[in-house]
Amino acid sequence: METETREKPSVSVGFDAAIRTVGLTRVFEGWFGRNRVVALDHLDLEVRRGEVFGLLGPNGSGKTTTLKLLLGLIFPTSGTAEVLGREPGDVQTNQRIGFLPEESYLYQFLNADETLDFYGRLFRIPRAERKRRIDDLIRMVGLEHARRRRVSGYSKGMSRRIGLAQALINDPELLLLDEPTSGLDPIGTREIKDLVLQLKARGKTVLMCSHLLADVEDVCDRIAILKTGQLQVEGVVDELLTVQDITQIRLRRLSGEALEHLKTILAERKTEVLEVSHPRSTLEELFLRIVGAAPANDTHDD
Amino acid sequence: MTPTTTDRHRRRFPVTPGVIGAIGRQTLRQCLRRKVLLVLVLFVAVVLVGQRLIPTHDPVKHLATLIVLALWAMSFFGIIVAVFLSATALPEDRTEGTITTVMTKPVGRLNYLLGRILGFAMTSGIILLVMGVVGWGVIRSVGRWAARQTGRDDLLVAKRGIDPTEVMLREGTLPEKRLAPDAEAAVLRGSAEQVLVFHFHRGLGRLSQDGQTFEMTPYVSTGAKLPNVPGEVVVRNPLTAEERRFDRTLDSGRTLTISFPRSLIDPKAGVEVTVRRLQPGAYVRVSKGEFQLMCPSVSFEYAYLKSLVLIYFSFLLVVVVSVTASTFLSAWVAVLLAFVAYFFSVFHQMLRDRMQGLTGEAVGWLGTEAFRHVHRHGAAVEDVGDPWYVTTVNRVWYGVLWVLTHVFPDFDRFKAVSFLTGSRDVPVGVVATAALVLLAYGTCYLILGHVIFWRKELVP
Repeated sequence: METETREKPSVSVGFDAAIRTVGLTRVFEGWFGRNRVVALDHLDLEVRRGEVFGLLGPNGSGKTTTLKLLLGLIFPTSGTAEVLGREPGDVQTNQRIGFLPEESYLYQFLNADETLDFYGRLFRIPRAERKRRIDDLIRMVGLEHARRRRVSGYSKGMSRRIGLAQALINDPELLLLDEPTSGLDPIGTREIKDLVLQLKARGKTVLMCSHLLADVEDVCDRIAILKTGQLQVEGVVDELLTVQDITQIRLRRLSGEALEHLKTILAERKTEVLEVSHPRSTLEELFLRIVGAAPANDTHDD
Repeated sequence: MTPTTTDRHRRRFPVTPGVIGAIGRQTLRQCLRRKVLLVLVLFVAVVLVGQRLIPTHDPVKHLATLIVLALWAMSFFGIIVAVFLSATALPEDRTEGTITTVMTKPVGRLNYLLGRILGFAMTSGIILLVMGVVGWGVIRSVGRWAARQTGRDDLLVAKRGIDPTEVMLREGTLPEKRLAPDAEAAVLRGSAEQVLVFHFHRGLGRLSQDGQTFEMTPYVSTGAKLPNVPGEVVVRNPLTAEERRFDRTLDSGRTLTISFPRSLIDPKAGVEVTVRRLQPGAYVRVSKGEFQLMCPSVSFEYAYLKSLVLIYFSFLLVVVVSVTASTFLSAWVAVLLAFVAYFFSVFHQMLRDRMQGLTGEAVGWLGTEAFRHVHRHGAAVEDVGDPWYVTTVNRVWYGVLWVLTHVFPDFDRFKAVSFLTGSRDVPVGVVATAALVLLAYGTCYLILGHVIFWRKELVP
């Protein structure tokens, strides 16, 4: 198991790290040291290029603080961080990253087209290329019908979609997503997860913060769990979730007679049978099957 | 990755015109969608209603009052809009979180500030342009009416007046520039040679009908308690040393008319006019108020345009001050500070006078105080020094005044109303001086704003 804790920092000196933090610490305190809060405590972390990395933790565990430190929006009390080989907040680094904040902080007086055009200009993308990307992204996030409507009139789900589009306007090498599926319906959530997998297939690196465990489990290669600012565990998802001392056999429609025979054999081998049952579909799968089969109404104005 | 030369250059000089332009354009759009152009409706209403309310029995005064009203309204509404927009934008970006999205793009903090300033400058420019055109239309219309009423066609012309940059005032034989209070008293009491010299260039004064003599009318002040001081005026060509002397009685508030041959004025060096009092214990001050320059008139529009440029400079300075304040203050405190900075210009001259009084440089009001001090002790009494604590308080007070008068720009430098209402051209020197003030203060404030902002944590 690739589980590491603070006592065994996982930071390596490999050249393929998209993000690397060493002893990253952030303490918030008021005047004269009052209300001192350690938001992040000596975080050692490495996100490799081309992987989808999930940062998990309950509210207040330091996920968003980590992202802000990695983006140069706030500064560490101690420790260092590197993003794509440079210090956080570097203009050259920002040229190659995309960021979706927890809330889609967008100018409310702009419409979707203008929003993406503005952010595209900040990347100095040529006009023709910018227009092509805007069309593609608006189509991808399903906002063609609302592209001329001001963002102030968008639902939360629509805001997340346009927020995601702005994060992708520069076709980033590294994507930082803070609670990307919050406020989205199951279809939107599925689309985001599919998008993350597509990006991974194209060799992009994704760092995703979430407390929705199912989302992270579906798309992430590796995860780290934070609690009160401290790294609790880090490793490959499959390895972390595999229960080594239980064996599961999945068979297609076993008859009662065959099942009894199988139980007898297992008893002879002194193997305890914990449960024999039919597998259940997840609620998400059920929802997607039903809603996806229904006539396509305008599901985006949620 | 090895940083390229361009990377290093960009880190050292993080100014990217394309990014600044994008933020400026977005800021302009933000301002326009906030319906700031409604202020134009208010401006038109104020000018039209005000024009109706101005008494019409004297068309010339009516026109002058209208010019004052129009320029005042432009400044007032423009400053209000500039302050509110530019002082609130950055704090709003912070509280609404939009700054986190922008600053995670390849923007750079200096580019963000410059882009914002550019956007507000464009917004203020558009507003001023529209107000200027409307104001010009109303002034022209009333000007035609006034011309018909008076039969004069020279009401809306701009004569070239005295350009302060072309007049060099120097104190002739005063022993020191800065004098302690006791020394000031000594000078005022002891010397009969206090001389104030005006050094004039070009053709100043009124040319006589025959074209041979000039007439000058300097304003002379002698202090309230010493009317009719015997004095003399010496007019001298600085190059040939040819001079004429005139015996004159100097009195406060009375203009002093001197006529002298045109030959005393050198085409390049100008002419020196020395006003000297002849009575010990008195002092004299000459101001440059009443001269007329004999130059051809220029069009009113030219002077009007320059006054709009001056107003625009004041908008730009207010924008930079407000944006700087907003880098470390909340929106409303930044608005308050920007207004304080603007209205501080009202007190600028008063504080500068007070500073001169503390160092003994003052003439005029503070000179009068010194004069009284001397005369309480008699004309021939020795110097009376201040006690040490008074000197200390004065020094501290001087420091405070120095800081105040240097930290806040003097917005009076951007006002051109008196030129237009006096049918005078706005001197290019005034515009150039204002541009320099804008450049100096704008740069300092921008640097201050950047120093504060570049390591500021940006969290909603």
